[in-house]
Amino acid sequence: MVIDWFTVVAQIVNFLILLALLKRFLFGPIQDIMTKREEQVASRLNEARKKLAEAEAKKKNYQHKLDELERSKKEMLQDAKEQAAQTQKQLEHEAREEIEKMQHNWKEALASEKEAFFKELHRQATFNIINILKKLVQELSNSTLEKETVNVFIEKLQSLGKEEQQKITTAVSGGEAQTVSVISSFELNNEMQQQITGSIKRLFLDDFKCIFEVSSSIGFGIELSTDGWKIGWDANIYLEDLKRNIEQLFTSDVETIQQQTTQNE
Amino acid sequence: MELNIDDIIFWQYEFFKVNATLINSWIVMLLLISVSWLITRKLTAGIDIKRGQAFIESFVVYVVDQIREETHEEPDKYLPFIGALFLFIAFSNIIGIIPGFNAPTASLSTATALAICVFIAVPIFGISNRGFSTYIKHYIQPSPLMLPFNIIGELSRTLALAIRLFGNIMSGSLIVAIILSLSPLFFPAIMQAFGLLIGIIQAYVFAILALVYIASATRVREVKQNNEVK
Repeated sequence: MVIDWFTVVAQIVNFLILLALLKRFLFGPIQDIMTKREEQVASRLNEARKKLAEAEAKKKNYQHKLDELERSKKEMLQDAKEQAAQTQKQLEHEAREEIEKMQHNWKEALASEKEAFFKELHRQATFNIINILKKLVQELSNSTLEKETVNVFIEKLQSLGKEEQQKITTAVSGGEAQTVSVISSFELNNEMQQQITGSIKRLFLDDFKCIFEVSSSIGFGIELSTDGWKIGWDANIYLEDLKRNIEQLFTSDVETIQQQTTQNE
Repeated sequence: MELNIDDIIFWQYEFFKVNATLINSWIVMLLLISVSWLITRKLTAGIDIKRGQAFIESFVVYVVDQIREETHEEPDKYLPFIGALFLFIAFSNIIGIIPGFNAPTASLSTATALAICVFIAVPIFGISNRGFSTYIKHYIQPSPLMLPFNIIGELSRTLALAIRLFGNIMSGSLIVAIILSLSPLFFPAIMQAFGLLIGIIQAYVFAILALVYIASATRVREVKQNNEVK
């Protein structure tokens, strides 16, 4: 077994050529491409990490916004509820006030109508009753109601106690003008005026001035008025009872109707 | 059956000659370069790679890992040399299975040439790594008396490298030839398969030993530096 030195040298050259060619065509490109891939993978990983971080940040941001939104939603809902409750309360209050006002107005109108009705009733009733009385007195006693009224008034003056007569006398004489007003609901003729004047003079004092007036404020009667004193007779005191009875009857009827209305509601 | 394929001469002019060893080596080289060119002309850095590229990349990664393990250095500098050694020897041995084709590595001249390449590469890598004087100094360490032993050691391991490769491959071919003349076809086929395995193993052994020699030449500095640090 001999070593052929030419072959050895040729093989060394061959190997060196192979080494150069393999470096050029195999290891060089392969190493380059592997390095490139590693770089790509690294850059992709970096990119992925960056994107992940971005996504995390975005997620946090959106979560924060969502929380904010949820919180503001709750707040708005709460506000809306409170506002609705307040509005409801206010509307109820307004409605109640409106109803109360309407009730008040209605009651006032009712009261006013009632008053007007009773006033008219009183006037009509007084007028009719007095007319009837006038006819009755005329037919039964051959006298007039006015005349009888003057008689009753004089009797009332006469029936006053000594003490009261004294007080009236003092009031009339103590006054500056020393006048006595006789107010009647009808016109007094001269005979009646003299009769009244005479009675006053007999009962109280001689020196005074008597003024006769006609007033519709008195229902039917005569009234003596001096400084601080008033005395007389009025048929209204009988009519007042009648008026009270009618009013009572009317009021009880109205209450019954109101109770029924409330029950129905 | 020729024992020495260097003796199969196709053309000769005085000292220059073209024998079977050279022809077969050129065929192996042509094959290697062609396959490399075919695979690497359409390389892609993307994820979707072809089988050939994946195979070559796996091979390169394996060699790179081996080099890194042995030298503890960046493998780029050693990869072409170690890779070329392994590929040339492995391809030569594998191709030797073809009847009538003699593996170039079955020639003592080829094995010697490769061993000489390693013998020259070791000081080149050592000097490039450690500097000329530092590298030369390691022959006279720990004592100048060791110089002849170190030189003998270098020469003998080169000789061993050459003889090991040549002996294994040549004996494999020879055994197949002898058995073929004695027994039926099946047994030589099995021996050929063994020969294939031995061929790959020898390529691996040659490349690894070369790497170990280079590593031992470059690592001395690291050990020394580490000691200085301590």
